[in-house]
Amino acid sequence: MSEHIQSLVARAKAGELGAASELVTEFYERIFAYFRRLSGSDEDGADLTQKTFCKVWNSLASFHGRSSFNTWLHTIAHHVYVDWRRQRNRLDPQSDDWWETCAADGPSPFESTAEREMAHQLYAVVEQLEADQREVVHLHYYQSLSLQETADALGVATSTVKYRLRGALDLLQSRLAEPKIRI
Amino acid sequence: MKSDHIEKTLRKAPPVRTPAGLLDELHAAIRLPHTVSSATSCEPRTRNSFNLRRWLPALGFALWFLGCVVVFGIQTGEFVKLRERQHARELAHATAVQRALAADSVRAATAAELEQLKKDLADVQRLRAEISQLRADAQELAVLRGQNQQLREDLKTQTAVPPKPEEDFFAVVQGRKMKIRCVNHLKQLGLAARIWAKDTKSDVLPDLTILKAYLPNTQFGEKALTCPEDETMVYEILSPGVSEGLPDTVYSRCPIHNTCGLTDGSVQMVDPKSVQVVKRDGWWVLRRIGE
Repeated sequence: MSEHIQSLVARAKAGELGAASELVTEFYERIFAYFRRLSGSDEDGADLTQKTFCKVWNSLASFHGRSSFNTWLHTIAHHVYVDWRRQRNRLDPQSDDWWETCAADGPSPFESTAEREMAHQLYAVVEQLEADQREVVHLHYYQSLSLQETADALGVATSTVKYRLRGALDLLQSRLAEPKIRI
Repeated sequence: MKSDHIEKTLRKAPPVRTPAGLLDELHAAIRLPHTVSSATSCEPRTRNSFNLRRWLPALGFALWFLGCVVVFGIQTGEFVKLRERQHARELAHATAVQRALAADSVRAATAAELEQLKKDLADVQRLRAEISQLRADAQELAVLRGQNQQLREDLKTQTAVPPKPEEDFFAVVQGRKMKIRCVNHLKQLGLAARIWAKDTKSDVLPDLTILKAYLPNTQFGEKALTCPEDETMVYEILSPGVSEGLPDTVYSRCPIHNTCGLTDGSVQMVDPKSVQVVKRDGWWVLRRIGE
């Protein structure tokens, strides 16, 4: 798959629209999901996705393949999200029914209702984390980036990513152990 | 809930439902660098604003640097003006100092000239006093010349009539002096003869030949044989070989002063008018005239 993506990138850099369309088709859902989870709005997620791909096409000539295209794409997406959050001053967490509205149609990954409710509580607590920890959780767990890819996307060291994940998991564990969870 | 379970739950996050038409919009918004002109962009306003923000620090620094250059230029101009003013003031000060020095030098020269004039005036006054003194001396010299002339005339008058020898004091004193010295010589001669007699254990006094040979070896010398009035005149030895036992015998005599040395060593100044030397028993003795 990596070689296929690399060939698509090379063709897109050569000016082939078909290759660029394939890249969009390949990655737009993940990027939209990343923005949708963080922004909490379909419109904002769609706008941020469009901005991200605009920057991708403008900066495609500067991509030399030192990291994977997925990592580079998430790096641009992270910067777009940071700019957007700074402009909007968005710091409010998501509501507890957020996952209900944004989840795709289809079978739930959770077997029991209790497990699903616990998962929803967990996702809600994630949105209450600090921005650094929340972005690490989103990139590493939700976007399925490795530790190295997450560190490259955020522009920090891998040890920093591990430290933030460790702190986030401890905080989530402690929050979920409380009798009532403030959302 | 354990950490592993939390991680598993997070990894099983439900997918997000994508809005319809998003993919078409994204496909339509594809602007690749080789297919899209640089003037066309999906976000021209945002890109321009981004570029402006991107260049804002550089522009700010450029403006700050330009301002610094302007301020530096203004300060440099002010500094140059101040230096020129200071230079002009230094020149004016130097000129004033030179003028003051010139005035001081002129004043010093005037003072020196005045001092010199004072000295010259004092010299003139001193010379005038000396001239008046010399004039007085000249007048006195004329008087002295007159007196000198008078004295010369008096001296000529006095030398024209030489004084008599018996009236000349100096000649009398000189004659007495010579007579006393003659007596002294005769005493020395008599003493030398007696010393010779004792040295030679002789009973008689020596003659003139022996005395001439003996006197140079004594403290008296050859001068004891001659009269100081005329050193070529040798005393007369009237009684050579006379015994010391005849003290009245005249042993020696000065023909100039008519003084006689006796055998006992005494010397008699004989006045020819009253005393004469006569021979008695073969020896010369003194005898008063009329005895």
